[in-house]
Amino acid sequence: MRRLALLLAVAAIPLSAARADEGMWTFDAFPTGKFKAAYGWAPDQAWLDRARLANVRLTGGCSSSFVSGSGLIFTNQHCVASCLEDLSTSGNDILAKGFTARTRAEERQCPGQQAEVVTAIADVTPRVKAAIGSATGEPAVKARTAIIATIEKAACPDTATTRCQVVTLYGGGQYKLHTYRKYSDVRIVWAPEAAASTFGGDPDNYNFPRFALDGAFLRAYENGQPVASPQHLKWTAREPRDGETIFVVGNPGSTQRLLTQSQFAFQREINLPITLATLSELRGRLISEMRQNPDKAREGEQALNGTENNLKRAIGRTRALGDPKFSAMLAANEAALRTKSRDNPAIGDPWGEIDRAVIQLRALDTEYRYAEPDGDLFDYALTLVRAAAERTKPNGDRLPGYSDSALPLRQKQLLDARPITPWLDALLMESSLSKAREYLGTDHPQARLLLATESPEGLAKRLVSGTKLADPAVRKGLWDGGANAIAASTDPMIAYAKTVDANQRRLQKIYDDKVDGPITAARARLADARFAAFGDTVYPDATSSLRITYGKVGGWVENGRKTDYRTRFGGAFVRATGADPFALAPAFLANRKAIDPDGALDFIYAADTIGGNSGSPVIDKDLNLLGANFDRNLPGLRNDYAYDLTMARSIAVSTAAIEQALKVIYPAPSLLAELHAR
Amino acid sequence: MTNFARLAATAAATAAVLALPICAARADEGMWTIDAFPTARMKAAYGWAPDQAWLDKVRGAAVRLTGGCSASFVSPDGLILTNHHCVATCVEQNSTDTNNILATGFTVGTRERELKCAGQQAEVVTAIVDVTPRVIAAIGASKGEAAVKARQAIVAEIEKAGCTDLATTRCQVVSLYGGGQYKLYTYRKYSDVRLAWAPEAQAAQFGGDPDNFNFPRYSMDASFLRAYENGRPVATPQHLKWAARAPIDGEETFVVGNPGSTARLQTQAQLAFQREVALPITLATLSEYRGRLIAGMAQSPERKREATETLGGVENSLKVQIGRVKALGDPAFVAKLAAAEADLQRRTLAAGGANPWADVSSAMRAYRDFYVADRFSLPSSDLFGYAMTLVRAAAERSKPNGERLPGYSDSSLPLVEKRLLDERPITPWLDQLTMDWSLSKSREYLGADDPQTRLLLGKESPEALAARLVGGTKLADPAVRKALWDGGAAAIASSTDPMIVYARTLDANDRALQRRYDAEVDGPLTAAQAKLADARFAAYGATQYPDATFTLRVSYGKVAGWMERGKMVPTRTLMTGTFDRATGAEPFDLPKQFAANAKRIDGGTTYNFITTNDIIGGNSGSPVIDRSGAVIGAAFDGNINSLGGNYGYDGSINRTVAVSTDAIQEALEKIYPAPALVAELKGR
Repeated sequence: MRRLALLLAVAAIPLSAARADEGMWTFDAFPTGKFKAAYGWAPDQAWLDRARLANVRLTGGCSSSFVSGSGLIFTNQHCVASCLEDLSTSGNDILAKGFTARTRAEERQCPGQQAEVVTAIADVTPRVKAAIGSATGEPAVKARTAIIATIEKAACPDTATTRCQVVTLYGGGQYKLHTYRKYSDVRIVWAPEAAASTFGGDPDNYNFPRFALDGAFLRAYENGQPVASPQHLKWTAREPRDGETIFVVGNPGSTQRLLTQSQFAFQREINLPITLATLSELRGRLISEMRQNPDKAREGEQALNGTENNLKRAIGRTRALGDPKFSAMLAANEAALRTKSRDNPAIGDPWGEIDRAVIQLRALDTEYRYAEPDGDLFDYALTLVRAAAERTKPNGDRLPGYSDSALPLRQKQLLDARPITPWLDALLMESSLSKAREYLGTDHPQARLLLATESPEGLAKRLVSGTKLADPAVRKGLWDGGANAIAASTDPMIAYAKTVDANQRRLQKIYDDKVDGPITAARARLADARFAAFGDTVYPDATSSLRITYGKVGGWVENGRKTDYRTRFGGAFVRATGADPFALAPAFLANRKAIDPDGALDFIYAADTIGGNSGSPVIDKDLNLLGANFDRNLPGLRNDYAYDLTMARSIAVSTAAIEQALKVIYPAPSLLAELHAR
Repeated sequence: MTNFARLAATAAATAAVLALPICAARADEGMWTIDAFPTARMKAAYGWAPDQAWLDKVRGAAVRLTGGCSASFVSPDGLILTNHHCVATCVEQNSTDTNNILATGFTVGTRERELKCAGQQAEVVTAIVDVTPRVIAAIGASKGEAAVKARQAIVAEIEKAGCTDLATTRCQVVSLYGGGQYKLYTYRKYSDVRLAWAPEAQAAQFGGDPDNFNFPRYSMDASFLRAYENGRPVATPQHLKWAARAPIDGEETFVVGNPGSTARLQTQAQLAFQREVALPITLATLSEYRGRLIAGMAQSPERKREATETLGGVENSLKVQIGRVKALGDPAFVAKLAAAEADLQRRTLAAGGANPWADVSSAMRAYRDFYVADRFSLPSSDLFGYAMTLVRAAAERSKPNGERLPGYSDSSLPLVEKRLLDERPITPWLDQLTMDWSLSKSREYLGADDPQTRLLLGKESPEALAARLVGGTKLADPAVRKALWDGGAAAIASSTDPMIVYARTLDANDRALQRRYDAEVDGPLTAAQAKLADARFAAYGATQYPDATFTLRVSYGKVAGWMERGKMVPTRTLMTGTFDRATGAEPFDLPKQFAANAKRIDGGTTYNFITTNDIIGGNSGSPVIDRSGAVIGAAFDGNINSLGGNYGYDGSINRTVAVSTDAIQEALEKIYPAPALVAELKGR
């Protein structure tokens, strides 16, 4: 999940009417006509079905694809880095050393990871809208939550192998039921050394030219056996060609292209400054702490990478919204839609309604943001406390994350064994509590609720060292024991979560009533306004659901210079300085003579992606796999708010590079054989 | 290291939307130069205003501390009242593992045991002369870099001619209204300043960062220094009278001190630059530095002691910046600033005439193109700072006075030399952490492939380079610095000290950036701001105060609370409130001596109080003076609303926070007993 964007065309083209190769399209609304007009052909339904069925969503927040008939999954190394970290020990750091399973028996399960393939998409908009009816505010949110829980439960009676999820599109304009085939046993098969996949580190993140071998393989299992995946993509390991058409299929996490001016202002004036300051401080704390010893450096690495990646995104978004030309373009887009909607009485004034809801949000934001601390152990505790209360209620009355359809994954993520790093958990908790006090103010009732008379560091230390929740058996005992077990628990983290729970629920109610309810209602009409004004050339904001985007392989021109569309292995040796993060991976150095320096490493293309697209297969028109998407260039950092075809590029590691790695750097002959099996 | 002064004061989150021209000062607004006190305005508002004798007396007692604070003489023997946070670095540097006076406080029975403060100098204004015509004439018709050079040359010349005795005087030409006026300030200076008394740090910092910029407040943020000359306390007959009494609600108060800087006269283009370019970088980088410090300090009690003041400064500065972001992100506040500019434009701009606003805009556009390079051209670190000073001074001292970089003119060199050569402890881990952080931010904002990044890092990583330089340099030793200073250009050229070598590497690029800044930004901005100053005088008359410049100013106001969410905040806290607020957990743990002397302390003593005075960072330590000219407190902070004061003042909600002389006296008598000081203050 790495990427973002800088210089943008100034013309006030309505963003909502997708231009050229812009758009993260849903599979049930691929813009065939538009595509054909631009490319002279278009994928047919069989092609789209193949692409969809080969695509795998990873519940860790990434995308991927099946690449063999035996459940082999290709994704990014950074998508499996947490798994590698969880499986590493002080003496055997497989995150650093890389991992190659010589036999399937050596493949190791990734805690909390689940693979999901979309098998059906159904429009449930009328049912959801009917259930909401004329309700407003919190009752509208409750009605929506209830009908979604009902629909999901009814559609997936088999929760062991299927998962149902109603996805909200256009902020409430459409509701689509996605049915997934799910595989909850996912194992690590192969990963390069971390120094190879993260070469260039944070400095090179969101940059190109790039020399990262950001690829890895997983395998989906069921009943202890690899699953059959006949619908997999073809692994040809051919190099990409400049100018060729490619498709990127995956699950972009979230974009904010359909926000109104007052929502952008909220981002710029309230949200982003707090994010910049708090993420930066956390980054600093992690860096200093990790410098203390190699174990801490290993244990904190993924937390630091994630923090730095999110921070870079926030900085890019701040720049985008702080660029007068870019802001003017967003304002002009809104003005154009308002003008086109003026004579449409059904639209009303959704902008004014959102303005008023955002005023409420501004008043509520600090409390809502700092309702609870960060920390894995605290999250376990709150999940247990919440689940105990929610599971006793009828499905439709529960909090959204606790419906019958949501519980299986929640339970898996709660109970899967994985190592907890106490110092890191305490650091995250302390840091977030100290920010809560800072932004709420010492004398705010919520600051008193969170801290009482303790200091953030004292409280975090007491809770993290006192709780037994790091033990999965203890979590299981409390999960199985339900409300009685929670009520009787004296675990300090459980006690603390109970303290925080009621206040968080109170805030959620206010948020639903004053913010979510009104904004969802207004956005449904904004979606109608867009459809009326621009027809079906409007795609929804990203929602971590399956999308397809397309474009051409090729560089971009910046400051009068064109960036080449790909890098080669030889370039990594040129760029290396010997100093972290520009130190070459040991296996690169050891196998330098065997490595073909002209072999393609990473490549770029003008396709519209965002965080969550990490690991997405980049495929050619014949459904051959060319690479795995892992990042964007700096101009791509603006993709949150708008897509600029001329400058924004997505970045993939090529299958050709992975092939070379499997042959001469991290030899995996059986894997190669499997990839090329016909 | 910058000494961050903790003060700030002025504008408002929920400011009235009325389009009152901000530049026409309202109510108690204004940081007035002492040679242009608005007597008529104050008289109109208060029915009384100080006369010239009153102002002269106050000027003679007002002390500027070169660490970035204000202060005042309070006895005839050179005794100086200021804030604890203004001397905390000095206290920290005089602390050791076994005698941590920062934690325990510092009291002495006799003057002989008063402790020297490295790098600190006390300065008193003795004359102010208008040199505007000379400077403007010297600039003449030149533009850009040439204009900046001409200005620097004439300023260096005036300063040198004005102060022939560099041992006891200092001359400084101050640019007011961004170039509209130039005034020569002459100071009597005292370069031997010693610590006489400080409370335990926890009493001064009770509430820590959470309570900073907040009120009600419970802080003993006071300390005493003494100015020495030739090894003896200096005679200061012009001192303020010490009035250990509680303030009276509504009484007039004056704050006399050196507000550091404000940006109230900036145009929309300058504010946009702050909001869109500079402030987001500051927020992110300072926050990361804070995080690195917090985790670095958590590793051992020694580290915690060694970096407490650095962290305090960073957190204070960060809070100021967050306040600015909020102010410039508040649509109502921003609209008010825009309306003020529009009003002045309406009164000023004639068709086809000069448009200084457009000139400012184009200068700021030019700056956007190389701001990141300019900002990240040199790393932060005390040791690197020494090296850069040595390298620069060696080159500059060989040039004629008028051709040198501004900080190296004959009038500036004595303080540069003092700061360089004064003995003070360097904390290697902290200096290395700071350098590592700043270099990594340079790479981040410039990009890994930027030529300047390559210049800064070569093939090393920020952490390895910082470790190599801090580990290898000998500049922590003042004798080594002195030898290089005395050895001049030849010594610098032949030095193999890695930090000196590194500073030599970076010098040329930084000078080139400075020239570009002078040519494309400073030159055009100064010319345009001079025109804007004229426009303001023409539109609103002579009662315009200049933006703060860390020079002597007077603010008048009164003891008053403010309305916050429908409730009136009381004007004062009492010492007993400390005991109520204490939780036992840092930073709300009760100071040990408060706990030990709980029964003796008169809980009803006024502790901290608030006034409507218009102040900002740099005013820390400023005496709060009553109508009779007696000191009744030391200003040490502003309330949270005052953080917008960088851009505009709102008298309805901006407040100055001061520690009362009554509380200080209580501390001197009962908590950290200093009978000799008490007697001295009482004039016995």
